[in-house]
Amino acid sequence: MPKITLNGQEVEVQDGLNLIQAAESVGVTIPHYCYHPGLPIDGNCRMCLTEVEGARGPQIACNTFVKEGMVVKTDTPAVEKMRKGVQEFLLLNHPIDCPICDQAGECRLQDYYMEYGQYDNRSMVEKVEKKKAVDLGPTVVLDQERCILCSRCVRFCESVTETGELVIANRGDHSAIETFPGMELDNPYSVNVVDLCPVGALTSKDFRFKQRVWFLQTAKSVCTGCAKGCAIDVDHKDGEVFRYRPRHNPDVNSYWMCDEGRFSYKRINEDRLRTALIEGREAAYGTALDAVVTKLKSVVELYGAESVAVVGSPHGTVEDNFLVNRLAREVIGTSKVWALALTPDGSQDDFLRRADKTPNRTGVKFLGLNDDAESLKAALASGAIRMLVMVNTDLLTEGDGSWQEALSKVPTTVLFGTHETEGARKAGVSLPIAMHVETYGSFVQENGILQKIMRAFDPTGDVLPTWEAVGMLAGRLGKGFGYDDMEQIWEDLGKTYPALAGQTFYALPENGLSLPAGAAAGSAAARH
Amino acid sequence: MAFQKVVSRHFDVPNAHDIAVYESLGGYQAARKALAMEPGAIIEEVKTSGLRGRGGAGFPAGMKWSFIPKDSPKPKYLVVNSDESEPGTFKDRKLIECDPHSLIEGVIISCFAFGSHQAYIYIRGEFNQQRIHLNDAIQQAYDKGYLGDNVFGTGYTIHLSTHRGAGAYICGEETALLESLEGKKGQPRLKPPFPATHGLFQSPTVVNNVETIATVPWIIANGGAAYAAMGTEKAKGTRLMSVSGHINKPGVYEIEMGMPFKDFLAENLGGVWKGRTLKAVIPGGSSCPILTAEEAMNLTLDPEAIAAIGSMAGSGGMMVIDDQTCMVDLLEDLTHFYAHESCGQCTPCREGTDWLYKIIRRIESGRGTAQDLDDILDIADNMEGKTICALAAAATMPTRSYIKKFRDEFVAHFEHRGCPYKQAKVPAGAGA
Repeated sequence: MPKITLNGQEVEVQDGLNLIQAAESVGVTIPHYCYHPGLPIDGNCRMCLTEVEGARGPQIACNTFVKEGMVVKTDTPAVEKMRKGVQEFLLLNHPIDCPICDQAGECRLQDYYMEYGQYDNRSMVEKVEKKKAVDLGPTVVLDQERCILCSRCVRFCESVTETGELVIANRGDHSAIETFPGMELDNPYSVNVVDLCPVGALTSKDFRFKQRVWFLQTAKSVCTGCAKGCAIDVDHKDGEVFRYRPRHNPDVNSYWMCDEGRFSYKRINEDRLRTALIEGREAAYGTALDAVVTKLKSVVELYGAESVAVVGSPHGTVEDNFLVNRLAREVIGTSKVWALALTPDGSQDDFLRRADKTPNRTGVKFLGLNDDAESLKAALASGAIRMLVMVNTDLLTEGDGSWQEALSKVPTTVLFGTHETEGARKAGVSLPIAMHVETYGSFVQENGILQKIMRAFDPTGDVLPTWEAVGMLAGRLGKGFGYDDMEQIWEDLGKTYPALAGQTFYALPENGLSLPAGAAAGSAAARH
Repeated sequence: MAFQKVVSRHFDVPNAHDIAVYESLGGYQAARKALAMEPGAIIEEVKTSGLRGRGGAGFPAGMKWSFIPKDSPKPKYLVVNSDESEPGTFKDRKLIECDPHSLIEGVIISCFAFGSHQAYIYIRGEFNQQRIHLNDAIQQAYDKGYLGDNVFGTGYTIHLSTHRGAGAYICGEETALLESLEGKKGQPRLKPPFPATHGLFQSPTVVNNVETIATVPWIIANGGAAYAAMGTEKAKGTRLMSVSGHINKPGVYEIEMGMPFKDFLAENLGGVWKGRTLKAVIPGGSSCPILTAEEAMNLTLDPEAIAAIGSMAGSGGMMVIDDQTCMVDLLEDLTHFYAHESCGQCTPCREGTDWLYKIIRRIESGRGTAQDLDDILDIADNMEGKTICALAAAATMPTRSYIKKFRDEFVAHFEHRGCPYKQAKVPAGAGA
C-alpha cells in the first residue's frame, strides 16, 4: 500500500487507484464529471485538476495513479480557481433551465456550482444554440444544450454494450451528442446512459416529468426481473415506485442493469390484488384466512396431511420460502412441498439478462426445496392431492393445458398472490401478499450471492408480506412461528442452514453474502 | 562551417521531384549507405547532428528515435506529420512539391534506424495536389525497389503510404493525428502513455515532421558533425522559414540557425512592403506570442533566443506585420481560427476559445470595455495548461501577448467605439 501526502497529510492508500479513488478512500472528494469507474478514462471535463508535486502543470486526478511518496494538493487557491474556471466554462453555453429540467436536484452542475462555483456571471456573449428534445430512440431524450460533452454515454455504448450508437459530432463549442445517421439508441441497456449522464442532457422517456427527484425516497433492493439479481435503488413516493436505478455491486451487476429489468417496476403499481377473495368474491382477510384454516383441518382429518400440497416460489424471498417449508412440514405435517414457478423463459445474453425470469431459484434450491415441476404435476394429476396451497406462484394462471388438467383434480386451491389474475379469481381462496419493495427479505441470485432487499413502503389495502401472512395462518392452525421481524427468522435460518449460521439480517454485507459454491452449483445442475 | 543549403538544396533544380533527376544529384546514396550501417550508428549520427524536430516543439530527433523500445513484440511505425496547418506555415508543402524524394529517402533511413517496416505520411486534406505528386514519387521509389519488401536488395522491408486528412488543424497534434490515421475522429489522446510506446494502433511509433525527416539523408551523406557545424551552440544546422505578410518577397527560405532577423528581413525578404514601417512579427506560426518591431530587430532566429524574449521558434511560419495593421483585428482573426479549430473534447478549450473570440470580436466592433481585457486574461489563465493538448495555449499565448504589447490599441477601440484603423480606411470600391 503506497503512502501519499494528500493536502499535507500522509495517508496510506490502495495500490492501483487513481487520485479520485485514492482521495475518496480517505474521505477527500475530488469533483469530476467525465470520470466514471465503470468506463474507460477520458479526461475531458478537467474538473478533477489537482496539483501534483514535480509534475509539469496541473494534473487530472482521474488519469493520475498513486505512487509511493506522491505529494498531491486539492485544496490550494490554484485548484479552487481551476475548478471555478471549469464550472464557468461548462455553464457558459448551458441554458440554465433548472426549473424545467428533470435532472434538477440530482445534477452535478447544480451541486458543483454551490460547492466550487459561486462566481459572478461575467458572460455577455450569446449562447451557442443546439437541438432540444432530440428523440434518440425508444427510451431516451437528449437536450444538446444541457450537455457538457463528458462522453460518458458515448463510452458506455462503445465499451459496455459495444453497440456504438452515439457519437460526438462537430467541433469546438458546436460539438453535440448525436446518433450515427440512420441509427437509434436502441439496445437492451440503453437507459443506463441516463443514469450516467451527470446533467440533464439525457432523460428517460419513462421517468421524465413524473416527479421532482427531491420528493422521492430510496430503498436498496434487488431487481426481480431475472435470476441475475441486479442490485438496485428503488425510488418511490407515497407508496408508488417511480423508477429503478442500478446500484453498484461489483460481484453482480457492476454499475448497470437492463432496460427490461428497469421497467419491471411497473408491475408493482398495476393490477394488484389488494383484498382477499373467496371464490373470486372479495372477502375480509380474517374471514378468508378462517376459510383456509377450516378447509385445511377438514382435509387433513378426512384424507391425511399428505393430501395437502404446499408450493413456494422462486419469486418469493428466502425467508418466505423458509416459512412456507415450515408451514407445510411442521404446521400442516405434509412432506408434499415444492417451490417452483411456471414463469416462461425470456431474453438472455452474455451480459446481465438471464432467461430465468425469477429472482430466487438458487435460493429455493439452497433451502432444499423441490423445484421439479413434473413431480408436482404428476402428484396433482394422480388425484391424491385434495388441497393445494400456492404461495407467490400462480399455477392456475401460468399453467398450460396439461397443468390445467392436473389442477382440475384438486378440489381446493389456495393462492397467496400479488396480482389480481385469472388464477386469483379461480382459486378457492386468494390472499393478497406484498411484492418485494413492500417487505424485507433476501434473494439468492444465480451465482449464489444472497442479497437483501429493504422495504420501500408498506403495502396498502389488506396486503401482507408473505412471511406475516404465512405466519398468521400457522398461528390460526395453533402452531405460530412467533416471528416479529427478519432478525428472528434469521436466527432460525442460521440454526437450520450452517452456511447462514452467525449471520444477522441487518448486518448482511452490502454486496451480498456469497453462499458456499456447492449450494449454488447444486441448484444450477438441477435446473438444467 | 559556412552556411550551405541542406533541405532546400534541390528547390531550384528543375524536375528534382523526378527520381532520375534526384538520383543524378546523388539521391538515394545516403539510404544505400545507411542500410549498410548498424541501425544504432544511424541514430548516433542523427544525435551528433543535433537535429531537432521542425514541426514546432523542437524535440531532438535522434533522442525521440531512441525511445522506441527494442524488445516490443508489436510493429513499429514511422508517421510523418505533413498536416502543416499552423497559420503562416507552408514550408513542408514546398518541400513535397520540389523534393519529395529527399522525404522518401529520409523515411527509408529513419525506418531502418529504429526498426520500422511501415511508414505513413499523414498529409493535410487541402494538400491534394501535393498528395498526388507525392504518391507519384513514392510509386517511383517502389518501382526502383527502394521501397517494398526488399529495399535496395537488402531484404529489409519498408512500406510507405500517404493518408489524407480531412481538414482539421488539430490533426497536426501528433496523437490526434494518430487517432485520425486509425480512422477515428481526430482528437488528442491523454498522455501518458506516449506514442513512443503506445502510438499508432497502440504500437511504438515515431511521429516526425516532414522537414525533420527530409533533413536526415543529408546528415547521413555528410555526417552529423557537418550539420552540427552550422547554427548556434544549442540550435544546430539550418531550417526552413515560411514567411508571409507585409514584405516584398514572401516565400520559403532556408536559413542558418541564429541568423539575425534584421539581416533576414533586409537580405532575404526584401524589407517591409510599400516602404512602410515594421510593427510586429509573429516569429514561428500564429500560436507564438507576438514580437514588437524592436524585439524582432534585435533578435537572432534560433529557438533559444526567441524563447528568451518569451516567444517560440515554432514551425518557422513567420508573419511580418506593418504599421497599418490593427492588432485587435488581427487577434480577432486569429482567435476565430482557434475557436473554429478547437476539437471540442476538453472543457476549457472548447468553451474558452470561442469565448475569447467573441469578446475580442466585440472589442473590435467598438462595444468592448476595459473590463474585457481583465476578463480575457483571466479566461486565458483558466485555459492555459488546463487542457489535454496545447491548442488552448496556442490561442491564449498570443492573446496575452497582444494585450501586453499592444494594449494601447485595445484601449483606442474602447475610446473610438470602433476600430480606428477601419475608420481611417478608404471605403471599399472607392477606386485604387
